[in-house]
Amino acid sequence: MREVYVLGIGQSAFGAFPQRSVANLGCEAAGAALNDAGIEAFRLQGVYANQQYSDMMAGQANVPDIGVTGIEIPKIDNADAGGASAVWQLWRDVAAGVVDVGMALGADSMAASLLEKMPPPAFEDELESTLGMTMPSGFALSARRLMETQGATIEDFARVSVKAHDAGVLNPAAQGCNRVTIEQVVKSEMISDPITVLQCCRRTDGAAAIILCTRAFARRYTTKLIQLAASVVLTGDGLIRQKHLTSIGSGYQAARHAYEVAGVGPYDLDVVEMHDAFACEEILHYEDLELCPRGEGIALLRSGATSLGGRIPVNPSGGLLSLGHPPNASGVRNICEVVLHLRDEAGERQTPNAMVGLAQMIGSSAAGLRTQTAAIHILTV
Amino acid sequence: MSGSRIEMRLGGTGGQGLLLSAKILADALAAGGKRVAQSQTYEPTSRGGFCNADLVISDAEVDFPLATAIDQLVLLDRLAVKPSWPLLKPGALVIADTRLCPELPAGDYRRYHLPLSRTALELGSERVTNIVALGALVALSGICGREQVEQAVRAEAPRGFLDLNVDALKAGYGLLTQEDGLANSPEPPARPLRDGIYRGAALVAGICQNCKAAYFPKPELCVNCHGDDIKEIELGAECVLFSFTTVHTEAAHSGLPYSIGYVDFPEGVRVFGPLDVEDPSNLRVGMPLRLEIGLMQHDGAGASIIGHRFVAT
Repeated sequence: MREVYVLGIGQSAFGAFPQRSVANLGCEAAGAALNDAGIEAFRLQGVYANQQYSDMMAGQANVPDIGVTGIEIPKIDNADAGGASAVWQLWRDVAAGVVDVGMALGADSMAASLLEKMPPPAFEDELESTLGMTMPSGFALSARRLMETQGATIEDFARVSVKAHDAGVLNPAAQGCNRVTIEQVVKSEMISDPITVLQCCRRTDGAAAIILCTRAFARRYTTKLIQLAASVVLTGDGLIRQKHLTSIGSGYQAARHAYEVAGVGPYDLDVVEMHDAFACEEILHYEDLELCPRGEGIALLRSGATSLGGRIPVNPSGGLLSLGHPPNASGVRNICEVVLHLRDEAGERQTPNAMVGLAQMIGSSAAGLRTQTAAIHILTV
Repeated sequence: MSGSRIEMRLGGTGGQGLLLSAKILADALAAGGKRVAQSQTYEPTSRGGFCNADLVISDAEVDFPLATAIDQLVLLDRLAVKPSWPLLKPGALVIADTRLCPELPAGDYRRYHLPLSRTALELGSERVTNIVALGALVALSGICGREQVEQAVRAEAPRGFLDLNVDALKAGYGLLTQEDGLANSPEPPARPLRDGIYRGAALVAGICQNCKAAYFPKPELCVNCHGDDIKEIELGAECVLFSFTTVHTEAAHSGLPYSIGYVDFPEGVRVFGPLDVEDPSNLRVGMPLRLEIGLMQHDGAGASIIGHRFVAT
């Protein structure tokens, strides 16, 4: 296996752009990544694209306009973890010697998405979804258990959202992001108690791209070598298959595996980006990533350790809660965010002296929390 | 349009041989002196996507070749119900497969729920479901003579499968003598949310005899230890609330707000279901609840469905 390095990152603006196509957003991100890497499009030996609920070959439509042609462009689906799975596929191919340099690209336009017109169908063979389970309500059942076992309150969950928005306003890519208060979050429209609408991510349009390559290739273009030390994607037991309803089995396993591959532990991490589609989810992930002992997720949140400037800032980009969530772009974007911190280029939200970072994504089918996919990427300087 | 115009649709999914059935019937009708226009609709997926084969039959030349008001409809998949239903004439004949298309919307039509695919399987191959359906359609509609259809089947059947196809056609005729009247009831009986999960007023769960893991519904295989010795147990009515939420906003479900949750049974099984309580603010983790099995308020496509829920004791 060869070592894999990050050569370039790029993203489009994140927001509501009903007038822009997915290809247009993807093109912006891909172009930005090429610029950042300082290489010409013809250098790319593969593009691993991803889009959800889109037309056939929509991933491939992103890149011809920037001069990428005549190479492999597979489209990879893994629900919300699709973008991260594209990075994983590219990482494997660079590590295995299939390609020396390639791009992973995630783009989604929720405004143009089929999802906008048609709610995703329930899984017929899941009794839960036929009996009224929805995605927010699955996480609400989990939040209830946190309230029962750790004394969490709705204000704690609101605090996650407030923290995300505080970071988001510092991120130029987060368009239309405003600070919110705990009271605003608690009093916003109830979705599935205790989850209110400001504890849920918005549907957003956006794209992100990353260019990975071998060490030899990277050294020709940059002196800032950032290694993608581990890339793990596992599918396994989801939230509702767990006895305590406060852990995602595949998330825990994937993290364990990634720490092993990268040769680092949770206490080596300087910065973490994670899937916070619902505020209460963040607490589960703290524990699954072993940022704190099991059962102490709420305490970790309350300590402020995961806020900007804390011991281990989580979602310094603003996360899905403030940036919104174009499902496949998010999984690539949050890896790019970690890269920014390791390069010391994250501006006002920079984590000082960041050397090791982790980006995590969770993918669930539209209505199913029985099986979930977890993607973990660990980056080191 | 001329009074003798009859429209037929064979609806199902790609790969079921609907086009072949339609062609056989068109040949048989043409041999009997009728004028027939045949058309089809299908999705880009060659197998598994929704697919229709339509016939417009007339004594004179067919004035418009596409189906506009269907007199006779054969349904071999639930996918085909939705696109065909708006075109259905009042009083139309509807033949549906009991397994592949178990639910039909209510309405003014003659319903025949027949075990077409099961009959084909019993004959040796599910692939002749289309021919069984053809037999049932000819027998019920009397649209053309049985000899003509049999001749057309003999002409069209793939080599080596002639006997199977002729047997399938005859089995299709035979279904009517067995099931007529019985299957033609105006309202289907209520059916459980899923077969085999309820017995009387109890839930049927399974306990792995190897590792003692407990499941509802009873699985074929223990996902914990991969053992296949799963003992069936019936759960009592008493249970305890493990977690709950009240759903206020969700486009896909009606009757908002509604409460749902997980309960724990003393047998070690956790079960999800609706919580039937007057005031959701009284819900507490750990409170005792009782299982009820009965008609569910929200059902799929007109058929009554039996489901479970948990009520305060």
